Amino acid sequence: MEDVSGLLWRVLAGPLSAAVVIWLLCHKSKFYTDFGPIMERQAAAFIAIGFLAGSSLFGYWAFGAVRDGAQMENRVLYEFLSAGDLMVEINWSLDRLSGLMMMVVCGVSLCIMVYSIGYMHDDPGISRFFAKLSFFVFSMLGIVLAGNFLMMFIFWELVGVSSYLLIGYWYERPSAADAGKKAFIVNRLGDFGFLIGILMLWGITGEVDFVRVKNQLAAHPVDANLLAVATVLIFCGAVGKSAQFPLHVWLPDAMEGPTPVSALIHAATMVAAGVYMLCRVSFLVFGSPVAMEIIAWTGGITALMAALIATQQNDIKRILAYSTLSQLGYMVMAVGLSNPAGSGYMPAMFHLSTHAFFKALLFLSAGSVIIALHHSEQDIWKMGGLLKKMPITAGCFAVGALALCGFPFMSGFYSKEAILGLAYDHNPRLYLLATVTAGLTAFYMFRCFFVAFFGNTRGEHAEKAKESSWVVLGPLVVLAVASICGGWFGIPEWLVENKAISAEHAPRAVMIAALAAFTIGVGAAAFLYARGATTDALNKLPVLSWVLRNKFFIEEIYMVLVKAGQGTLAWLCGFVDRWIIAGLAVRGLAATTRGTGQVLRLFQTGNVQTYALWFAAGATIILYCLVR
Amino acid sequence: MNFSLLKLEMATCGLAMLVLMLEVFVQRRDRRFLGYVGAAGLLAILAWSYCPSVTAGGFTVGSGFGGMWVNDLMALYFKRLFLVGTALVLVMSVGFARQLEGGVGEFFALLMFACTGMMLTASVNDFLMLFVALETVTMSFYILVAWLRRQQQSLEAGVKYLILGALASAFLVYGITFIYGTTGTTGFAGVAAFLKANAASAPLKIGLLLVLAGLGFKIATVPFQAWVPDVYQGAPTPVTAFLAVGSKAAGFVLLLRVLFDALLPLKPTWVLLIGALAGLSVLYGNLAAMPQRNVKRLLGYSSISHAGFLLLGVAAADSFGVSAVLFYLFAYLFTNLCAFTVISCLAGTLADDERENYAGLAQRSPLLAAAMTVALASLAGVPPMAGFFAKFLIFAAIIGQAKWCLVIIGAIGVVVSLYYYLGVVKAMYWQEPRETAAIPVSWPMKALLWVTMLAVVGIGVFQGALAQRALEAAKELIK
Repeated sequence: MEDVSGLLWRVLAGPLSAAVVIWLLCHKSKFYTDFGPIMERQAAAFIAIGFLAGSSLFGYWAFGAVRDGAQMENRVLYEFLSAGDLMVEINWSLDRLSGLMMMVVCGVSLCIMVYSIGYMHDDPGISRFFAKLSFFVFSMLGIVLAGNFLMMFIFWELVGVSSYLLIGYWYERPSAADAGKKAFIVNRLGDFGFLIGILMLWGITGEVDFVRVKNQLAAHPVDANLLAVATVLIFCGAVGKSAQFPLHVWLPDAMEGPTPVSALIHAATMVAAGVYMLCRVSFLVFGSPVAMEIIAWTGGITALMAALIATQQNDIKRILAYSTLSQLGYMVMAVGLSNPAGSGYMPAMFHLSTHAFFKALLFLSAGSVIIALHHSEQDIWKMGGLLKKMPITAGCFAVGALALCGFPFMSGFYSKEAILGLAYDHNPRLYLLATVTAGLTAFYMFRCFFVAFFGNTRGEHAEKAKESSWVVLGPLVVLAVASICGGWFGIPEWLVENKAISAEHAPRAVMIAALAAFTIGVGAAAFLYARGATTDALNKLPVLSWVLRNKFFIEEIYMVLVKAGQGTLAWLCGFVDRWIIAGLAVRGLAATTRGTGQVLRLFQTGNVQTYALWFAAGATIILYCLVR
Repeated sequence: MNFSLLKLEMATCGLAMLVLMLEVFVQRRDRRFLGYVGAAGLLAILAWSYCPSVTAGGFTVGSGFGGMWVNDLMALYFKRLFLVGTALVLVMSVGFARQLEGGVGEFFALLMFACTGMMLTASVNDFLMLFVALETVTMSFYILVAWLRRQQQSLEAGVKYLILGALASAFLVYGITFIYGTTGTTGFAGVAAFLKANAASAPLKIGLLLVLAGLGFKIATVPFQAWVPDVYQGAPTPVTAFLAVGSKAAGFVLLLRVLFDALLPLKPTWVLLIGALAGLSVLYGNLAAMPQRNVKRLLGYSSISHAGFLLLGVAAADSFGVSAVLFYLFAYLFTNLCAFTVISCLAGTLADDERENYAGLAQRSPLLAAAMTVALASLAGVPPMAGFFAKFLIFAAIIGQAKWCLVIIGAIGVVVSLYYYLGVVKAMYWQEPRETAAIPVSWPMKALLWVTMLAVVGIGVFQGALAQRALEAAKELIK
């Protein structure tokens, strides 16, 4: 077996060094000017892309090694911490799962970084942007390659930090700064559960390494309820990061970040980390039916709820954000419904990979529209008629939308079919829910498409819109090709080596129902919006539209809960703090300690005779005690 | 007589004499650069200690000079610690040289003579040898502590250290006579054999306790700690740093050798004694530090409390506890040198070392404030600093021995210590400075600050290799 661990170091080192180099050079802006006018603004972009390309190359080698059968689970690279029974090592896990995810992350990141050159062209902080983006890619690859829970948690938090930094990239806008904070805090809620879950698991098995935990659990079965609790707690981490109900509130706000960030982090990679993590610990999840049930329903509810909300959003990025939520719900549901003996986590990971490409494509197309509208308009009702003005962007958006809705032979068709087939086999209620969601998906995506690209232009910015430059369109076309062909590369065969299982297709009824849902959704959207509507037809159903537009009032409910809960808690804490802790504990203890300190100071007379006396007296006392 | 066992010590001693001679040929204003010669030489000796010819030529095999001398992994571990520490102190002294009057060459040479003595202590296997090695260290320090002859504080510190040190030496040598009188031998192995065969008589116990009292003075444990605050405050800052990291480590290597080689049969007794002293030191050091306002004095009290933490590891009395002590000493070395480098950088600018003068240091010199913060955080045991992991190992060791009383005392000590360490950090970052002039830091001192800071963080994050070495050394001591 060739040594792939060295390769993995290099994969990780690339983006990290890019971040460090850019950060170091950022201080000396003169460095850029020395390289001429092109380098002056774009040096950071070239550094970031160059390093990432190198990383991707190494990643591809490692990927090839996996394809040739190298298994590098549990290779200890460095003992990070070893004390008594606790042993934490730095080790990577490279197998088919992480290999696939690594290639997805590298591929999508590369496209998006190239695109950012165009999108961020006029931004003064462009080098800061690329430094942060590189740092994000580093953290994300760390999650993918981590070989134990501790490392995964560290990189998990690093991803959270870089997401915070990138959402709040335009920190001078209060809304962006608030959105960053919100994302971070809501994620922390989930991570708290994640951490407790890891600690519980460590308590149960005495290990934190994935492979050893697995072996330990296989060798010494533990109480199923205990394991279910630990699993659900670990799932909390995924609920936060993958924005599942009820912690989904941060993701739509995260659209305050630059569009490439939304595409990379909040659509294609980071939010998928929760799903990836569930697949990575599938040995845990599959071992507890209760936890799987909870996971499946969380995903299903998120999918439906987000799809409903998306039908009444007007901001192009927010529509995509809710569609991301909905698709993540699909993936989580797929994990919860998986058949351990059969396809395993394949449907979830399959959908994750295809989704990464077509969702990145959709966001980047939306970004291209936003560039054309001079970064000042995101409301689809103020667009209209863009099809003629920007045909390539419109085409790419349509490809993305079709793939997302599961149009036959596009990538999303295959992966969605795999999930629907799974639901059909295991849980009829969730199957119904998923099919309805599929219909809604087609509806809101084409609502967005028709309103933004068809009809007459409805805004002054839209009048003057032009097609974007090639540095923007290039990545779009690449991603569009990937979105069309993503289902043909044999991802299911890659994940499930058993040919009989991976070649299985969903029953014909599932396929027909999915196609029917697609047709109804697109038909309804076309009927309501394709003929140059200027206002939303759903306004005629005031209550429904009011509820959906306000996102089921979940945020408002949270506000009330937080205010009431926090108010009571604050009063209680204030009381305890003022009267019990400050009064008795702190002042009492502090006074005692300080008093003791003052008394002890008296021994320090500064007189050498006294010191000698203490010395002798101390020795005598010890002598007396021991020799007595 | 195999003198090649003494290669490293002879080289160090020779280097000291070389520097002393070179001083004659160097212009007065250039003499301080001799410190770099010394530091470079010590680092060369350190590199030499990794050569197979040195490690294979005796460090893996037993003893020499009729059993007076032992070369093992622990000896090598400590010799390297002393070499690193002395080299860094020499660099610090070069930066401090303007404050030093008179022959700086002699100052450097004395530091290196002390280092030679410390390296001797690492290999001691006999009570006579112990006395000789320890006195080599102590004698050098008598002079070094009182180096600033014209400053009353330094002089006072020198006198106190001299008188109390002489007292401790007297206890030590008196104890040795008792031991020789009862057992008829001074070798550690002989004493251990005697204790195995016979019950310990009262005179023998008295002798051993007197020896331990002498060592207690070196490591600054309660009740032999009284000298520490005054001497730490008065001595020139590099000397204080050297006292804190070198002299203390020398005391500990001797203590470990005496306890685990000579007194192993009496283990149940001394575990109690060491545990009691450890608890008292932790409590005394931390509580007395609380009202302190002088930073150097504060570090003096903190040194007492750290002696207590180190003794906690000794009281665990297994290879894990000893490895924790060894690790702790290395972490403590870099941490303390970092802190004292900051203090010595400030020596020329600030009126004295009162905490009030540190107010707003972050605005006057961000580097100094950052270095001090790293050092104090490490002393307090905040992750990811080296001091955190060191304390972690100590606590793991005593929890492993189920000594819950000591665990609780240690925990109290840590909490109290956060208060006074962070008090300094608070002054540096959140108080307004009295003056706003930037404080210049010369580049060698900057380099030293960076090296020590990186070492503190580096050891804290990548502790594996060092912990491994410490464990290997400890396992050789406790067979």
